Amino acid sequence: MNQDMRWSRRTFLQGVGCTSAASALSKVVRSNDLLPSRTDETPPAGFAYVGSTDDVSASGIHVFKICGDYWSRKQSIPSRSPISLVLHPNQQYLYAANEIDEHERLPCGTVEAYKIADNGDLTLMNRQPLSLSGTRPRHIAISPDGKYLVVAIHGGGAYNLLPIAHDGSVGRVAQILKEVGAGSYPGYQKSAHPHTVTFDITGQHVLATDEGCDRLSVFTFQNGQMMRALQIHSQPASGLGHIALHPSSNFLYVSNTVDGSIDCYRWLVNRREVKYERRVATNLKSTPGEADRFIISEAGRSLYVVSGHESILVWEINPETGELSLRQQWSVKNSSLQILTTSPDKRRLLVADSRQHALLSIPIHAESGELGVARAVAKIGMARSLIVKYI
Amino acid sequence: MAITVDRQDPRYPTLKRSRNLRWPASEADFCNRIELCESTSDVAEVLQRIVNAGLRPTVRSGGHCYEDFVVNNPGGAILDLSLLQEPRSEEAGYRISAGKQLGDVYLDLFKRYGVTIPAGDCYAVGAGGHISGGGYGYLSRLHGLTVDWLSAVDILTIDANGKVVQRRVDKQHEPDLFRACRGAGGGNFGIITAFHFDKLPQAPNEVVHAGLSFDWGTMTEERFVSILRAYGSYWETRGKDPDTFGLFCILDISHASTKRLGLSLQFCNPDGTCKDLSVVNEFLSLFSSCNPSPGAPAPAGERAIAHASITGEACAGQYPMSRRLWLDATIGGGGGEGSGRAKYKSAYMKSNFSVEEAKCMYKHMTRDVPGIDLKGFVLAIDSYGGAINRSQLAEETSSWQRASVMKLQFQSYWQNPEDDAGRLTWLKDFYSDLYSGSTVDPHYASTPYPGEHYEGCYINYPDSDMLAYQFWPQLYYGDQGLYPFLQSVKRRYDPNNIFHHAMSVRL
Repeated sequence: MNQDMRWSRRTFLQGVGCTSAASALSKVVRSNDLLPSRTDETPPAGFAYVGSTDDVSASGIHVFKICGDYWSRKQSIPSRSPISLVLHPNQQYLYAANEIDEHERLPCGTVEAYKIADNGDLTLMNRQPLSLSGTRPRHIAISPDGKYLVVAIHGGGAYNLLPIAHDGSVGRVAQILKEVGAGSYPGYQKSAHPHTVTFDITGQHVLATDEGCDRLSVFTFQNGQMMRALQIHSQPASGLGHIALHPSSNFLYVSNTVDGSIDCYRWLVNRREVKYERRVATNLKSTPGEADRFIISEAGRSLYVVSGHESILVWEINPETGELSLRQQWSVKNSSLQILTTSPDKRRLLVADSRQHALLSIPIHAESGELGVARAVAKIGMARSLIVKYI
Repeated sequence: MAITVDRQDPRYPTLKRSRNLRWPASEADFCNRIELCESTSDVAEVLQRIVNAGLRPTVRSGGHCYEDFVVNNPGGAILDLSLLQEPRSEEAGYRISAGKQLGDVYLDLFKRYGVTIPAGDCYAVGAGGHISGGGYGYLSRLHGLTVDWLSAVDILTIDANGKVVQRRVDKQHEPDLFRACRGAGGGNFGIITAFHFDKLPQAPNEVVHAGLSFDWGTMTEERFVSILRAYGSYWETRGKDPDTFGLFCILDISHASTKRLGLSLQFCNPDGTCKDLSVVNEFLSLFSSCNPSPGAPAPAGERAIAHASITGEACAGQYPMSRRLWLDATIGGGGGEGSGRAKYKSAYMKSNFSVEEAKCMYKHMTRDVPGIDLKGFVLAIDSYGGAINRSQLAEETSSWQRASVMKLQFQSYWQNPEDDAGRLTWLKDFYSDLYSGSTVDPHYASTPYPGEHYEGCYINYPDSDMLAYQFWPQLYYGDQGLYPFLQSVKRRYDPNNIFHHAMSVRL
């Protein structure tokens, strides 16, 4: 389905107010910018893939053509609750984890493989069920060599490893790692709930968080097999969520969904050791299970955190110690910021505002890392995942 | 110490299998190893190791699970309890190890104590699955289900932090888990290693077997309907009288291509003797107008009374019967040793067949389907009720069907994988048609949803086709709150859902 975004850009920009502050958090900057005029004939700079879960009928992956800050929807393809998207390293395939409870009558979620055409359009190649009881997968990661997918299965309390074939299709589950554990947060931490998985830059380790039992795990990854190597227990009732690896590979940060804090760990890859360093309190609690993400700038100087509903915190990273110091609190009133990623050129943050049904593009200051004025680039319902392929 | 059989072990190809050769559906679904446990401590140690390694455990006693709940375990481990041998206990009462075959259980209980469980008929079926799903058989109308007699269970569960916990549960200690172990089915909450009974019924001294058969060649729809209606009417009326509780009967409805259909029965008086056979004569005389032949036809499946078609020690009387010692009758038939490809379905009935239902059966039994040999199909219609139908036991146990008078088991057997699709489709269509009659609520069409006429399905005859219906838990556990109760037990005793299969209780 093609949908020209020029229709309402002005309309919904009116709902976007931005506050930007380091020392003066109340300063409000309203954007009156209008986007440069583009046409559909303009060669795209890339394509954005947005997974949305409005409701069953509208749940799907939406393809947008990107020309600067002008996005136009060019395809919507049905997909059940695509909670997490990942691109193959060769940029020719897209994979989605479907956060569902049942597939073909069995209690499990699924993973989908899509082929990306030159014009950015998606074609479903295949869909694989996760392991039995592997319900509600939360996050998906791809090995740097593009041969395997790892899925963190929140509902089923497990990790699944799936091979990727030469044609990009995803094979059946090759390894199941069932997790156990519990935490002290009432009602929510009664069992293990893997949240996020990511490969380190060597591709030989998988780092994973467990929201249900406050655990950070390190798995070795060799010959297509994951083996438990380390388990680090965080403070009780933290609710470990997203992971961000510092480009130096010396640090990693974990967001805690229960108390809104951020933990910094030193990652000693050669010694296969993780050392807890410090915690930063944000006082911006999020609801357990709610999507929030954070990301580190390419240069490794800034950490961007979506926290609460209306704010993005910009933390400056000490490259020696990993210490964080707050540089900016960037806010959008009456918003519900759900996801965040960077554009491949690292010059923008891309954020979904589920309250205003908008995707926001926020410029990143090249020197300071601070965020500028947001521009609404697309209209979308309940966006849950977002990934961009630049040409 | 447990014996580990991995993929390199020459025993692996034999031990990885299910008796139902349809399972697992693909080579990749086989487990990585089988752990043969000889003691409860073996089971605990192995289970802890499996959980620590992040693998999935499934549990096997006799290997008769109709679906793939045990052997579909890709990369996981099967804990095989068939070698479980515990030293005899000085405790009062009776103890049955979960891995024992039912035939051995009958022998052991009879020779040591002169008692029995009111259980099944297949020698090789394992106690673990049989009892945890309810445990019913030829003596159930006389003595109830095996779980009705159960006093305590030894079970290993996994706590929230992944530690194995050994428990003995009974009405005083963790009564909710105990109730869940009394009929909810295997593979849900933990690994049961032993069943304890304070009391068990006295085994009968003797039983008689008898049967009748009917010729398909001369069968008419009218006569077929008469046979079914006469059969169902008996269990709905006279079969509720206590003097008939020792009568157990199976009406085997086979396809017309088998030439004959018929019924087989086992009987003893409530005192365990066969001194008064008037109940049997009265029952068999119901069919005299249906042109029967004496003796049951050869059983097509595993669920038929094996001796009802042969002459034993003849009993003088109106109908040919054979009298046998109960132990010989129970052990001698064997059963349950075979393997092949199979599909099963089930239904409980609270009242007699309608004419419409009987005609539906006749239609499917007389219809040839090109390319499908239906000789291997049988619909076994078992008598039910009697001592089972003590309604208060629905609350004490998880076997909730306490108002039915018949229990139907649809069975289809074949050998060639190429026949799978045709067989499965035919059976599915037949079942769906039978339970979509004019009186069926359209919302529950194609299923025997619990109501005035039906009482759902039997969890020990699981049928994954039922997963197509959102209300499948209600088919197996009713709609009076049992399933939510079982879910609460699941959340408490298996919060990480270590024990799961396609139809396990879901969190």
